[in-house]
Amino acid sequence: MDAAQRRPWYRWLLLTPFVWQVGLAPWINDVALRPFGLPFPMAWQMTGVVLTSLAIAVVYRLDRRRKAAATRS
Amino acid sequence: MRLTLPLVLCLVIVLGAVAGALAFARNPSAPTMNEWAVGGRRFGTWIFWFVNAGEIYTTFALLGISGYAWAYGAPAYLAFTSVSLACALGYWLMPQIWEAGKRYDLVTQADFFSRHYQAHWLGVVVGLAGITALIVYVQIQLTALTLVFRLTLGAALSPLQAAVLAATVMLAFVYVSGLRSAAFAAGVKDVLMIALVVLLSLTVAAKVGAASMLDVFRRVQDLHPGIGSFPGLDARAGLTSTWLVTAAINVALGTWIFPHMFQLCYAARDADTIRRNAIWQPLYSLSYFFIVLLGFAALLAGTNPPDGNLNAVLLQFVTDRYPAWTVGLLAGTVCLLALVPGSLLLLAASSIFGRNVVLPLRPQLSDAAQVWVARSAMIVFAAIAVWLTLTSNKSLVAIGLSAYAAIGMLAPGVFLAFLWPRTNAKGVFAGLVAGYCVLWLPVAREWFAVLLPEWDPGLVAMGVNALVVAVVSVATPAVNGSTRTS
Repeated sequence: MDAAQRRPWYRWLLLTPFVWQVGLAPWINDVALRPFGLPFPMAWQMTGVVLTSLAIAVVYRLDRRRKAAATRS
Repeated sequence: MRLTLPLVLCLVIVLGAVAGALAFARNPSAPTMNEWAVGGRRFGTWIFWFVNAGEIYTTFALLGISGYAWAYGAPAYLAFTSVSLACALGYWLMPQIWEAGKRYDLVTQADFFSRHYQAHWLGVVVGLAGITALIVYVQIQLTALTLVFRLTLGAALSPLQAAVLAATVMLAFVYVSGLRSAAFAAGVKDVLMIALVVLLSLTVAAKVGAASMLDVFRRVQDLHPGIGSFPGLDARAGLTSTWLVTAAINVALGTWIFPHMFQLCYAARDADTIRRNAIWQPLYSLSYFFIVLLGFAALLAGTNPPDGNLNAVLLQFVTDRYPAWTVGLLAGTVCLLALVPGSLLLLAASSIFGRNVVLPLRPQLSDAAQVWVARSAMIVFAAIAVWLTLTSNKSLVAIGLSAYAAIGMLAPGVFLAFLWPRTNAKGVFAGLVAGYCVLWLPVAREWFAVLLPEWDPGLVAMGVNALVVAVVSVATPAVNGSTRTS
């Protein structure tokens, strides 16, 4: 098995919360917008939660497809 | 003792959950270590979900986070951040732990260390370190239970009596049949918690003179400018965005390193169960929206908890503004929130003690005797936790972060096991010692506090720890790792 096969590119999607909820958190802290009346940093974190679930779901799908392809061949 | 409505409701909820748990447990008479500690390795999607959620959403979540929202504001968002990070990390890490557990028939976390690094002595050290962190985590649950008991039973109960009662109920809870009985109660408590916070939130606006749920957020921000962003209400507390970033990473790295999470991981039927769980678990953390809302509402209502105790804010707010039956429902739910994780923590600590500390010293011990030793140790650990509860009055979030800091010292040994084959037992041990020094020696702590202000001390200590592991591993001759699978 070569390295590319062992660690497929889409696994990097798992970094989504690290970029959105941690990396960008200091940058959006002072945004004065209040979406739905919520403090912006709170709305930001909640959006991050949804994006994380989506990202993990996509990785799961692709993992399954890759596994199925591997067992067929 | 007067039988008030809240007390009766609280008793009904707890006893109902206990009865259901006992009915749900299989074959409680003669458990094997495998059955008792890792549920026979056949947890499917639902049981796994509820036990996992049960360990993430404890009193730390409900009382701790609402208290943080009330006292500081934005720092309560830590709850949203840490769960997502932990799940993304868990998707990658947990299946590997599961696979090692299945292949080598591992029961505890210390098993993993002694097997992977081919060193029984490291298993003993890791076992004791894990037990220490677990006892601190039990302390959180006992602190919350004590609060509830004093609320529902009145001040006639001394703190000592309340804490002992709490520990006794917790022991009774897990004594009979281990992980499976806790799984049922975890399901009950999750449904109750969500129903309760939604119920409280639906009526909260009217209780504090706001037009709607979202109006509560508008009002609290107009009244307390700066509450919604970091550093929140109390700038002196040092809870800046740097704190959020470092604390969230530390919690995420530590989440799966807790010995009871390792055991839960082994208990899954297959790796797919774990992966599917990681998809949905972050969404579940959106329920923190309601918990933050309730904390903000308590602030608007001018809630004044006894002794300014953050942990009691929600209980006080509900007692002040809601009907008596709601108080009973909340008290019962908090009891379960504390009992379920608390009993699982004691279970993990005691199985580590029996298997990884006593067994290496007395190898001829039978499986039944091991279970007996583990059960006796549980009582001792509960007693230590009671003593800690009585001597500390920190906020639940602060105690929680110190538990994560303590367990984080085992994280480099786990992560590097899957990332860097060169890592060896001596390196892991040296890193552990260095990490604890940074964490617990006042001199080191102060020095790093000046060097890296606002950083979570746990993450700093973990960094030093990992660095030492790397240096020592390179400097000593390599031993082949054995649980690496790919």
